[in-house]
Amino acid sequence: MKRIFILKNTNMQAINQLMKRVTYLLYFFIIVSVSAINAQNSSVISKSNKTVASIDSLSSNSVYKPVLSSSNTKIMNWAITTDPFYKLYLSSLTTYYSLFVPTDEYLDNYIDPIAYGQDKQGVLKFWYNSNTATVNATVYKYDKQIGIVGDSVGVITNQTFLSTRLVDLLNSHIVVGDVQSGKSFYMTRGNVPLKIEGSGIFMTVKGGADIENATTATATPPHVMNVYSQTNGKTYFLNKPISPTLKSVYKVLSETPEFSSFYSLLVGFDNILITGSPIFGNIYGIDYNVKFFKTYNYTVYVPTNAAIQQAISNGIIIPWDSQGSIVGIYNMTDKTTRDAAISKLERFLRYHFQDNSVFVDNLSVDKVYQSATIKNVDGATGFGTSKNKFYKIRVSGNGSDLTLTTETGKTAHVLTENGLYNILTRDYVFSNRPTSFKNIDGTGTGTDFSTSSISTSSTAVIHQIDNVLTFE
Amino acid sequence: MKTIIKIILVFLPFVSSLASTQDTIYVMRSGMVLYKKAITDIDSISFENTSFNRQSVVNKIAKDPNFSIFYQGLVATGLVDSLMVDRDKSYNWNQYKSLIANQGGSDVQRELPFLRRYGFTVLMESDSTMRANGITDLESMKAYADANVYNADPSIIDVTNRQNSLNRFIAYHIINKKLSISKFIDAYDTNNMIKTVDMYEYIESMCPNSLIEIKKERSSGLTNLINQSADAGSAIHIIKNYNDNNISNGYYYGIDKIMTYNSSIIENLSGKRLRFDMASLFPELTNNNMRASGKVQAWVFPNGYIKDLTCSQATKVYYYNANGDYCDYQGDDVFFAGVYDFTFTTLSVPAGAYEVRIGYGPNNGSGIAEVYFDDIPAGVPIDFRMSATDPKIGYVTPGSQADDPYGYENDKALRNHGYMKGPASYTSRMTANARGNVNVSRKVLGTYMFMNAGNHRITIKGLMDGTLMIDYIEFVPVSALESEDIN
Repeated sequence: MKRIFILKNTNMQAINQLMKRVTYLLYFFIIVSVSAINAQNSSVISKSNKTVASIDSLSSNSVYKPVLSSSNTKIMNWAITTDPFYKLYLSSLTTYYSLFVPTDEYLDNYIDPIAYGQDKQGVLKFWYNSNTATVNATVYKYDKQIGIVGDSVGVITNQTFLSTRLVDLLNSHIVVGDVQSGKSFYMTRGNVPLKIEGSGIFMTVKGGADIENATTATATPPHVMNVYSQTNGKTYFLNKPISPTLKSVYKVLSETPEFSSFYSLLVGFDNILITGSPIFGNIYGIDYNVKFFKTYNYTVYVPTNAAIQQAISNGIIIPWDSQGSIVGIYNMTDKTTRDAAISKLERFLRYHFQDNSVFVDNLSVDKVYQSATIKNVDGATGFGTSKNKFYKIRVSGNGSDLTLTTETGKTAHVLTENGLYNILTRDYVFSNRPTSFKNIDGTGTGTDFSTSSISTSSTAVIHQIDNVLTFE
Repeated sequence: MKTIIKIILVFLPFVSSLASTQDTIYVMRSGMVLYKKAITDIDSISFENTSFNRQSVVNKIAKDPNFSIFYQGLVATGLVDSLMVDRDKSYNWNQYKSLIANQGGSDVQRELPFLRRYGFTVLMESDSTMRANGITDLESMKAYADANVYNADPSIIDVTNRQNSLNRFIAYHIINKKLSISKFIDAYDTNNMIKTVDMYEYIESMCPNSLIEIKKERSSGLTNLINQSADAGSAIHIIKNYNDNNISNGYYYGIDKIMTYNSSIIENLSGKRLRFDMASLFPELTNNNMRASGKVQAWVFPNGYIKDLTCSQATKVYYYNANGDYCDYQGDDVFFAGVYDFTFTTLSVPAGAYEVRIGYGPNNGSGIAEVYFDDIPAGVPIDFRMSATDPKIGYVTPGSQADDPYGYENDKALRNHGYMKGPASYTSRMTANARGNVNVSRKVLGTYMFMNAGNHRITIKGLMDGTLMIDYIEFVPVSALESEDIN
């Protein structure tokens, strides 16, 4: 059925029209007025077709606020504001943060990691340039052999250079969560572990380099000067930046005699594989990096030299060089046999590299972690590992020890009596090889040092163990 | 300023009344006044037309002699009433036309839904199937429902109570989407889907906290397999002589077996990855012919159009239909733009421990956001702008590295960072598959223990201007993580 609706005015049409117009005008006036008042009070600002809103869930009293408010944290404030992410991240109420902030006057002795891998080293003194509202850095000579800082040799103003260095530093100073839960080691956003001792203004905060330097009488670790309790965590002002270690896994293994047998197995690939070692590679680091480290934190278990020798004697692994009646891989003449032995050794070695740093700390632990060895066959394993997933290791301990259980049910223990545990390492990845840049003092060949940047890094904790780990 | 406004407000009612009382509605036919009313006495004017108002599917079910036993249950439980609604008459397309112009961007044509229809599908056992299982009338149907998993609380004897056994039995047969036979799953098997990988679609029934699985099995060529058992044995099939026409507000189909949400089905569903396409969460997209409509365009929505999606006023929502170009699961996705702030409800998930993920498109313009799962923060804010190749995600194209030819080692690295590559089960015209596409990613929100089956809420609050694409949601039982495939 068709239905027609007609809107028809009465004979007072003229008056009605006039009244309507008056009404519309009044409505219009009110709307404009109210909108104007609202605009003044609103948290929403319209600008250049972009809407920037105040977010309810962001705190104005966050861990970032002391950095913003203080007159001597301009350098770290600049680092935080180089990308919108960090300010929003640190202002979020969804998480509890522990933010460590070295104040401006103490950011004067940053050992540049790229220069550390060059012929000539240098340290940077960061300073806030009020004229440009940016951060600059004065470069000083540095000798890593004796640890002495020399004369200034230049100033770096390249903002990309400075922001990547400081953002890397910032990421080493952010812990998601509380740092006073009873344990000693806490992982930062940048995968740099911190060792925390004491509390409040009596707290000391050590990175890997701070722990290494603690053996020297004059070294003092960063300590907390002020603590600010904020809505989403605590901000700790420090009298010194936290210094992560500059030692890679390769460096520690190569210079520690107690790790020599394991190290020899790891580096033996270079002599036989055209493609190079599947373990270590020069991936734009200070020296050699673990190839399968990918911007994360890891644990490396190093069997004692005696344990490696026992495994060789038991036929668990075949060494590179022949030993008595044992034909070493280098001396194998049949290619198929040799390739199989190389593959088996690589998979054995990788099983000693585990995702996630686990420390001998003050808290008990019992958890299963993934190793770096992929399971490439079907069949049941102790931890039910599937094909194309990674063999696992169970780590348990009461706080003062760690016991490892393998896929085969065998165990090994972290040795703590010789002090070869909780050794911190960091594998940097730079934008290019350190040797591809001129030295930090401008000498040498290559591209200008100020074009260098830190791309990423991974860290690992190394423990000595009393037995080898096997997955089959 | 405030004084001026006060003066105006005093005189406004007077002036307004003078204007409005003079307007009158006349309804005329052949010069005769059929209806006359002052505007002030009318709440609204609606134009009713039979092409807008469809009959209830119940009208047809009631007349079909093959389903008389089920119909008795439908009536007795009162669920028949829930099938009567056809559309939301308060929705006025004209009020929201400006949304089309204001949504920004112009990559595809935009459309505002003209109506807000409801729709239903009823899956029913025929009388002969009922009788073969000992169900001959309402009482025996009650007994069957009591004896077959629904009798959680025997004290609830009122069959109209949604927790009553019979009520739950009947409700599990009703879906709040109008599903033509192809829209159970085949219509979503777009060119995006890899034709060698089995497909699954999940549908919520009107039985609280339940789920129906539809499978398309590549090896056998069978489709619309309902709740296939874990050992790939029996499944419920839709009988060929289904009723499928467009006159009523729903469809009804005969099924070949008694359909219950039993422990075997729940166990099966709680042991496998559940991937919910975003469009599957929102019945409005099906009932208003948006999802799998074949139109290469995007829809825009006024706030409140989609019941299970609530947004701030600043949030703009688009639904992009499948067109083959987007590397999306089933080809479609949902975009949120502006300083977005939205919450959506997932389909019901069985009890258990699950890893929850969202499938999204990492993009420099995607913004930074806080994510909440069931109103609890899911960790630190997420930088959705971050490229998948950023070391903090670490994506490497599978096959590009000799020492990791299939990308499994890279998979592990991504998971350590809380991310995953896209699945290998879909693609676009321009890429190998989502796993090999750097513009596709999955973010792991966390691991959650659900003590009971039920729906869940995901809230995403943008902290800056951005445009975030969400493709699907995944619930993966923790027990299934180790054996999960790359599809």
